[in-house]
Amino acid sequence: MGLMPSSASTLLPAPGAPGATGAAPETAQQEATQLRELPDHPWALVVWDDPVNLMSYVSYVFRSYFGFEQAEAHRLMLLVHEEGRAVVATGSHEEMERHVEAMHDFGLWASLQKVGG
Amino acid sequence: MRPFRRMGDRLDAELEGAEARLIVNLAAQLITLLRDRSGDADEAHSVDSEGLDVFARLEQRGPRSISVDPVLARLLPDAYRDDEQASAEFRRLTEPGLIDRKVAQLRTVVADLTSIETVTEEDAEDLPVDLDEAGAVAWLRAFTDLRLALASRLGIEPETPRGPEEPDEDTVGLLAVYDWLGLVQESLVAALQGEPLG
Repeated sequence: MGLMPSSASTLLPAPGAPGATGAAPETAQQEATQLRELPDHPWALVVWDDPVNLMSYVSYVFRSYFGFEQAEAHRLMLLVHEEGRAVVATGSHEEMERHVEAMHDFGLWASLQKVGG
Repeated sequence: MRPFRRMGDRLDAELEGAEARLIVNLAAQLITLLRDRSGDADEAHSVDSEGLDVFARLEQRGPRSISVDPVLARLLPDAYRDDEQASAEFRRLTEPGLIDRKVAQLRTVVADLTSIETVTEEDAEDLPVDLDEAGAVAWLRAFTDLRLALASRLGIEPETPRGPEEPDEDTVGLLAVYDWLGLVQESLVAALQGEPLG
């Protein structure tokens, strides 16, 4: 499982954010579709912020499920909270589908998508 | 309520009878909603009719597309945000298991509280809740789903994290329940991780 130590926030920049898509103004959907069509790129597990789940609980899920150290779990939780979403893991399609299902078991709001190069 | 604390490998708390019944009632309603979704009518309409039926409003007419029921849409979200077809296929494969596990967690909470109530003396003020780690994890997940369902019913969204600006009386009451469930859950998260309550 390829975990993203520090570059998670730059992997999936918000549409329109600096460096997000280059010059052309594209919608998030167009962008995502293009990413998906690129072969041989890993998939990403994205956890989205929600106003319900306790920050302590999200940290706990990252620790107990992914085995992150407390500091890393806390950092990723804050990233989700402050950026609205964060890539929490990358890897094969099957792996990321398993993670998404596990996150939904925990009640976290998660999805998977292709990562750009 | 006395919040959860860790005692060795156990996690214990105390709930008032009314608090325990409230949790059981909410859990039973959510079980019904999830079971209806999965087409298993066994437990449908088994909820105490005198209880507050907070999720009933969400049982909408017409085909049970995930998109028309905000509680189910939040508990069973799409796995692909940009690919309807992939989401539908993923849902077909995983949703029955996800529902079964969510129902099982809620049933664990109901069974724990029901059995505690049975063995506790009638005049006792508080019900002692005493969980092992596995039980605590089930409670934690079940409380998450209850809070997500209540939040959906209350209109708690990223733009409105405290619900409607001018809540009616029912909403104020449910917000209090929602906040209280959050307190219980917060203490359980801390206790599970072995942290002393601050």
